[in-house]
Amino acid sequence: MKKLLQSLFLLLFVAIQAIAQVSPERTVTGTVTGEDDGLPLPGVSVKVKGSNMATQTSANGKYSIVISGNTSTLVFSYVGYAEKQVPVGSGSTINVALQIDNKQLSEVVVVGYGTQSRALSTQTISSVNAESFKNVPVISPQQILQGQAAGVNMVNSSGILGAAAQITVRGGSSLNAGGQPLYVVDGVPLNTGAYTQAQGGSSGLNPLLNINANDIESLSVLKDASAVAIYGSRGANGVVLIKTKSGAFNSKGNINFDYYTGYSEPTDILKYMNADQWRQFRTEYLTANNLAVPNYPTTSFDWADAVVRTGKVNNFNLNAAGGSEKTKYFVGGTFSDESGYTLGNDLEKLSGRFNFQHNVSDKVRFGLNYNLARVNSDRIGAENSTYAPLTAAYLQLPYVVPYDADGNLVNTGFVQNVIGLETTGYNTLTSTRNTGNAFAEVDIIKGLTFKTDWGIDNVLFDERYREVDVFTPGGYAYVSESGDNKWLTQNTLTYNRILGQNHTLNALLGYSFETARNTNNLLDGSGFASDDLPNLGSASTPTTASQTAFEFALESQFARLGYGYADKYLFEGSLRRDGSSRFGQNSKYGIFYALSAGWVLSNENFFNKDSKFAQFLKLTASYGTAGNDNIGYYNYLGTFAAGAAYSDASASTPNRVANPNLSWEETAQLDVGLTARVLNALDVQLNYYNKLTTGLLANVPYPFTTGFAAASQNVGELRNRGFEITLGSQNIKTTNFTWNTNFNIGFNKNTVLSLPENRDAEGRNFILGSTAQRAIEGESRNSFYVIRYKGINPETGDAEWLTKDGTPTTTPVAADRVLAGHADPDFVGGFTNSFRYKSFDLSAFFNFAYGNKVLIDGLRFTENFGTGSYNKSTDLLDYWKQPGDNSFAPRLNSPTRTTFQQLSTSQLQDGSYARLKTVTLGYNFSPELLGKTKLIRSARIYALGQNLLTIQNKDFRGPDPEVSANGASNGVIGESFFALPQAKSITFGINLGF
Amino acid sequence: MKIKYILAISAGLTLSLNSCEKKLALTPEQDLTEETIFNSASTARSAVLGIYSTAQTLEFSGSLPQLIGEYMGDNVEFVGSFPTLQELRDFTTVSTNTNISGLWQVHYQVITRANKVIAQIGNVPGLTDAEKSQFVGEAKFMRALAYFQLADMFAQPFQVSNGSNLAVPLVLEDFTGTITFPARNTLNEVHTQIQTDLEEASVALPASYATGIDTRGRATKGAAFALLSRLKLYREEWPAAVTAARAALATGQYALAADYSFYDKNTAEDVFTIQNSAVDNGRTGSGGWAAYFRPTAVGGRGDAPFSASLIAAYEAEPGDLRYALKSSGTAADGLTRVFSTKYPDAVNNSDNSPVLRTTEVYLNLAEALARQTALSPEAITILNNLRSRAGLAPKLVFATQQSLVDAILLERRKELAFEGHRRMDILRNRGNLRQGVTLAAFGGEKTILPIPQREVDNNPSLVPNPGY
Repeated sequence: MKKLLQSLFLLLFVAIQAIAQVSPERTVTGTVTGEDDGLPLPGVSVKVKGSNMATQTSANGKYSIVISGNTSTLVFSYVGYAEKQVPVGSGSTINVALQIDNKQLSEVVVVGYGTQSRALSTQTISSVNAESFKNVPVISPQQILQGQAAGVNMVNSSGILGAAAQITVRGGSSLNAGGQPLYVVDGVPLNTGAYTQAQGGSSGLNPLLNINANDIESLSVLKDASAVAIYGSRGANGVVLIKTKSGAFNSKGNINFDYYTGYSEPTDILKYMNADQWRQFRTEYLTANNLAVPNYPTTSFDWADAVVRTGKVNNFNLNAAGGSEKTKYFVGGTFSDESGYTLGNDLEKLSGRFNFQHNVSDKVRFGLNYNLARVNSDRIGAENSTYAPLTAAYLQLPYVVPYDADGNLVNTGFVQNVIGLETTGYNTLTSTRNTGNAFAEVDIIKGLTFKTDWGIDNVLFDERYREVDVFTPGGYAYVSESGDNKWLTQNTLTYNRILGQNHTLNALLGYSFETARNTNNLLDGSGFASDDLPNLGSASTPTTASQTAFEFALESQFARLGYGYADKYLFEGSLRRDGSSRFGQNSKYGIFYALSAGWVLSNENFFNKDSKFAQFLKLTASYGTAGNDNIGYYNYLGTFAAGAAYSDASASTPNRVANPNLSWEETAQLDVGLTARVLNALDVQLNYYNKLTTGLLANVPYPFTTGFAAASQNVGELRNRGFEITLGSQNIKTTNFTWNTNFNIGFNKNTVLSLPENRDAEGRNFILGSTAQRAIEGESRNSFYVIRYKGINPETGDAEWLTKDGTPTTTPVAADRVLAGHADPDFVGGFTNSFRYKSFDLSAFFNFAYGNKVLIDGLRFTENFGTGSYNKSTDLLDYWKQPGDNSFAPRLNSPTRTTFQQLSTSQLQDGSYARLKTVTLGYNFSPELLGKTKLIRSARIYALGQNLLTIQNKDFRGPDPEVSANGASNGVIGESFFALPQAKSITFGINLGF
Repeated sequence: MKIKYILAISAGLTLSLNSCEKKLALTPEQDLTEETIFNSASTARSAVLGIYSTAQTLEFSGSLPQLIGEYMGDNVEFVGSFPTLQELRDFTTVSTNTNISGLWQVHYQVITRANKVIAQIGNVPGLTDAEKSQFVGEAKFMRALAYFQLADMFAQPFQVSNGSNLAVPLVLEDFTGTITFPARNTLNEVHTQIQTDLEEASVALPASYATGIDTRGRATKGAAFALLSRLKLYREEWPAAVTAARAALATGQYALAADYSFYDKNTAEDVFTIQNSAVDNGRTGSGGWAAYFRPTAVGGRGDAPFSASLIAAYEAEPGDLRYALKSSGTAADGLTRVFSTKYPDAVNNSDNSPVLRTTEVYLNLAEALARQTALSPEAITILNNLRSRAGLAPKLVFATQQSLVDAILLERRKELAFEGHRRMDILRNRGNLRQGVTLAAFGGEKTILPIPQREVDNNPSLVPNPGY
């Protein structure tokens, strides 16, 4: 490795020597910007007409070229922009603004540690720009990616405000290691620890909760090996680069104000009986079984109706961007206040951002990107607990009422009185986050830039909970404070030159070090003198005092070398060496690499660019590796957990088996792509990929007779193969009317190739994810393995399942379980149509997923036929009464009356859906009219609907097919245990520019 | 000049390749490595207490096995909402029941943690031989208790086929990384191992400790004999049961309490009680003693009230003071029901977990005597001691040998209700766990728990229980 780096240096050195040979006569410098947005364009080719002298612009659009005395014209060219020829006068500064002639190709994409021209990049990257999510009420940035980037599957885990999202890039390539992509904001890799919690969604806290979508200029999803290898041991599950907005040099300050307000309600809720239905059903049931019918109370209460309300949202956003000759800035602030559609779920968000850059001289620059955010949330019980409003409402016996005869709240026990819980005490989460980086850049010699960048990401979660006397006698409270504090330094040398007319060279060499410490303090106590004492300090019995801390450090060296010939033949190689504290003694260091090549056919002489059929055509291929280091902190050590106690003395218990070989898992990926513009209107991107993960980190299940449940080992192999299509089409473009369509779809097939020895009845190794779901060798990582439900036998009225060989039975056993589908979809994607007619615009965005099963596990409760302990679905009223009945539920006294609800394909349902995610209708006020105000530059009003329409299987029982109750888990996806359905919302807003 | 600058930076970058080993060597802050734990007296002691700490867990002494032992019998109604527990009530459970795999897991945690102490404690510097011997005795007692509870749950009782039926795998060696796939041993083999462990423990263990909490909360000579007397009773080896019960009582540490205020008090009534406190207990989100057995208004779940059958048993002889250990309140089904007050603390779950108490030892002794000798006077005396404590008139006349045994068993039911004995007391007497329920008949496939499917899947040597 060291040798490789040394030879890279040598190469760089030789190149520098070669350039030093050119003899100077006069130097012209300047900045090249895009005419549309005034932003600098990096990588623009600057050539002296009629000579072979050439250069290209640096990352901030600057160039410097040495010309001979007789030079008359400079030629500026850049893919996607019209070529511009500028006569050279006597001055030494020539600033140029280039005009776009093809939007798609002119795009500059953010890549790891830099930017590249999309047209000339050999990396596979999906970008989502601000215009595709502007005004959409999203709470966290992951949601922006839903349906917008081919191959990215983003699933909202719950309708609860601020719930973590499940997101996979090109199929999940991890099993027991963390499987979420790495998020990098302005170069700072964010903390994405799994912040567990006792409240809210069962999926954990959303690690990006306080990254403000309004500040984001673009999200780039790095997908293929050539894009992710530079992130080494953290790239295997994809990398999402978030670039925040910035100002522009020499631009008048623009001020933008955005406001929206809106309403939401659940897309659907589960069925439940009212008190009369329940009493009658239960009486019939008990009577039919010769059991005594208790004296049921005659009261009734509609719990679901009482906990579901109209949600509201108000969002204010104000930002300013601009710049002088040497300084540019962006300042933005957002305040939003949202109340969810369930009682007690509110979220308030305040965030501010300051991005700034100053050029000290032509050669020295420094800057700062800084974000401060605070989220204040009134939370509700975890969805898989009976303290969650809607969960409790489904299960609460409908004759139980929240108040006694005197109007006092009552304790209803395990299925708690959620109305009382939400109207007394408190349950809050305050999260603050500081994320930022400061950098300095020095141009050492022509083309060679040194950059040092220092960043922090400090996130603090403060959870507080207080339950009053009626629900816990004496009262109860807890405080949990979690912090994840990171700092990092990244130092890079970049070298960008054109050698001669045709040889483009880009080199990057870097070193980074980062470390983060994750701490948690948890305190709880009980026994308060009064409900009026809010703080834990007033508790008489402190029951828990816990403090834990985890730390990791990552040290890396990385390099990238790109070479292009005449914008036709493109090559790139990258290399990264990571040393991580997470890896075992025997494998502290990992090396990751990628090689890629591209051929821009449309720049060949034989290609007729003026043909109507095709205007641009590029083929790319890449192969390389990346790792996943998300394997816990010290999992390679065999340890005893301290901190337990017995009879007032400390106790320790073994908690982990030693594995000094524990290491990252590695994903090798092949990607072949085609990028084209055809018919002067259609941009096409096609990619095929084949990803093979080896050293898959698996929790190898141990027989419990060893004392351990499992041990982490690098043992498995997993493959994701897929195909992605991204289409962008300008269907109609006239002065008054435009119609654009964007479509993307990603097909993925996930196959587990090998797992540790642990065989099922069919002889295939497997690893359990949940009771219903497992990774099976030869099948999907998320295969459902359950017994098959057949239905109610119309003759007998008994529920029937199938044995393994398909024979109906009323008493299935575990050995009858079969593979019954998978939770990962065959394909996901999105489809957007945007129309503009004069001042009106309309856009409709659908996202879709197909081919996956979802387990609506809550049905095992709401369809529990025999229980008297909680409420039931009205579907059970359709029970079998006489031979010939095709009923939903069994005969009242059938022997299957208590097994009817058992886990089977009955709860496993088709999760395919298409959803009208957003639809927007807007009106832009005419510039002429606004001109008269002398204040307002632009104004738009709009109405936006979210999730207004969902197309799903007609037999789907469950509130929402979009579920992922375990959030960012790999082993368990597509399962819901009373997860809140997505909200259906309408918002109205205004965008003003000054 | 510039070239030098570049060289300096690149030299710096290159050097950094070697300089940071130290930064990457981070160690856990909450855990101790295996190498350190048995390398000092204090950490080794914490590993011994770790066995008890594991036993505090819901699935061991934290009430779940005991709750199941009550409502799979006829003492307790289960009106709670957990489907996995409802299945057990209905005798329709399946091998994927997650509560059951939890029971199996935690019991083997206790066993393997005991195995580790037994194997490693000899090498710990700084411990006296007496301490080492005592620690091994404690570990063996806890291992015996774990196998006892496992055999009760996962095997048909001795009475079904004289103990030749399969019970659970005996794992006695320290796990050091090599996975083995042990097969199930027979009930007789498991019982023999329990006997061996208890006999060895009774030699190694002290009769009492320096503090009351340890004398009641850690393994003692008396506890080993007391558990042995229960084993012999379950195996119908009456003389051995008598011997063991007498040996326990002979340690001089135990006496019948005068009244029923002894719960959670660490008195001479307690032979072995897993100690809980507000800051250290086995309560989990899914249950605990008071969580199951107390009504909603005091913070319980209201899952497990008195059954009609138990109420009838108490009401058959009015005035029983043990029937006063109750209160009525709202149950999980929203109806008013009667609940035990033996475990009052549903807020902090500090109630101790009863395992062995003096009354049980006397009941073991009385029953074993009465089974051997018709109308044993000593058995009648013990019976009447308990009856008079309960405020009931003495019973002196018994028509047959069986009627004395039945009277002792009835006392046993009323005395030990909510402490987890009922299911085994019915089964070992070849009774039907719940009157009128066919699936609950003696020997019924689902009167015992399934070997967890997870274990069957992971260990090819394991044979499932019939019917699962």
